[in-house]
Amino acid sequence: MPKTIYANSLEITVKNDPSLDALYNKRKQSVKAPASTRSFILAKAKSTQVRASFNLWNWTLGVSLCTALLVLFQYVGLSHRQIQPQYNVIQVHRLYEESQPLELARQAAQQTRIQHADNYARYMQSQQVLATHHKLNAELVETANGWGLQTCDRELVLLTTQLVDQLRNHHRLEQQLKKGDQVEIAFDAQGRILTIKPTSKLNC
Amino acid sequence: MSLSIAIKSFLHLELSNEELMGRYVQSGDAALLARLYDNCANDLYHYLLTHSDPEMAGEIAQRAWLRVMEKRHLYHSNGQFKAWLFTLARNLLMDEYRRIKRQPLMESTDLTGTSTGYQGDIQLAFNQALATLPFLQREAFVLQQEGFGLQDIAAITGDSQEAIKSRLRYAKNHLRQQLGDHSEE
Repeated sequence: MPKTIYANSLEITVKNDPSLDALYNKRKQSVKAPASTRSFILAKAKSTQVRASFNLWNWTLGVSLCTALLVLFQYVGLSHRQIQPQYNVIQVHRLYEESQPLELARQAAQQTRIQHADNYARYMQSQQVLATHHKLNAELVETANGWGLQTCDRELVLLTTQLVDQLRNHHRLEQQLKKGDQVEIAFDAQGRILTIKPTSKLNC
Repeated sequence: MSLSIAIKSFLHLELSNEELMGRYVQSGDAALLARLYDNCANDLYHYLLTHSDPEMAGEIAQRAWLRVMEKRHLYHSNGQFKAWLFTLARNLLMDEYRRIKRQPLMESTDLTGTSTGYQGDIQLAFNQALATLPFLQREAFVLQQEGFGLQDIAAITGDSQEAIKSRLRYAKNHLRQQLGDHSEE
């Protein structure tokens, strides 16, 4: 092999002597490194290399085992979750949730229509009921059983407490009425009292 | 760099020692170490033999190569492999000298009037003249002959470049003086 001259050898200011170089190279050619050293070093290097690959094998084995354990845990966890009933419930719940708004909206609309029709019918009925059939003047008196209405015909119509409450609740009875007040009583076709209002037209 | 090494390796082109070492550091492949050994082992052994006896040179060379294997992770890819190898070997050689309590650096050699006398075999005269050089001068001369520059020699020996330059001058003058006119023949 030719002698390698490195770049920074140019820095050498001491000139090479060709005759010395030749003598040195000739001397070097007669000197060889012991073959036993080469065998020993390479055997050592190969044993190290084998050990390295063995370690690599161990490392690979360890990684494989870890991966297998991870997959096993994943599988066990998945199976455990699969046998829990919540999954079915959740799925049904989602389906219900998805269909519920439309269904509810339909039901609510239907309910609203029914209520509206019912209210309208009730309103119409109440309008008919409120149609006064006849009126009668009377004087508000207080009796032992509550209030009473004494007409010019000396008839006394007793008002039960429930009736008074109902009339007040439906604003068909003036709140400021008191004993001795002259009132006008409106009756419907069935003779039921509709309203009691104060009046000054009582002429018996 | 690794791509160029891979391409060279694929094309079976000759890799430099540095490229071989770079791959060996990464792979630990014994075949790469074998190629490095074949490239540098004789140079290293000759260097050690020039500064010790055959037994010690063989022992130190073996230890140096073992250290290359053990300390390969410390090798810097931008450095010359051969310089690193010689540095390891020189440190081991100095350690060994310290262990056996011999101080070759302090051993003085009287170079005046010690002409070996040329008697027909100039190679023998050169070998004898080289052996009579002081350790540091001999070392500087051998390292220069191995292709190292002043900077490398200074790094291997741990001395200044000026000191190396001076040793080289003395060494060559001594060798020429020892060989006399016969070296010109």
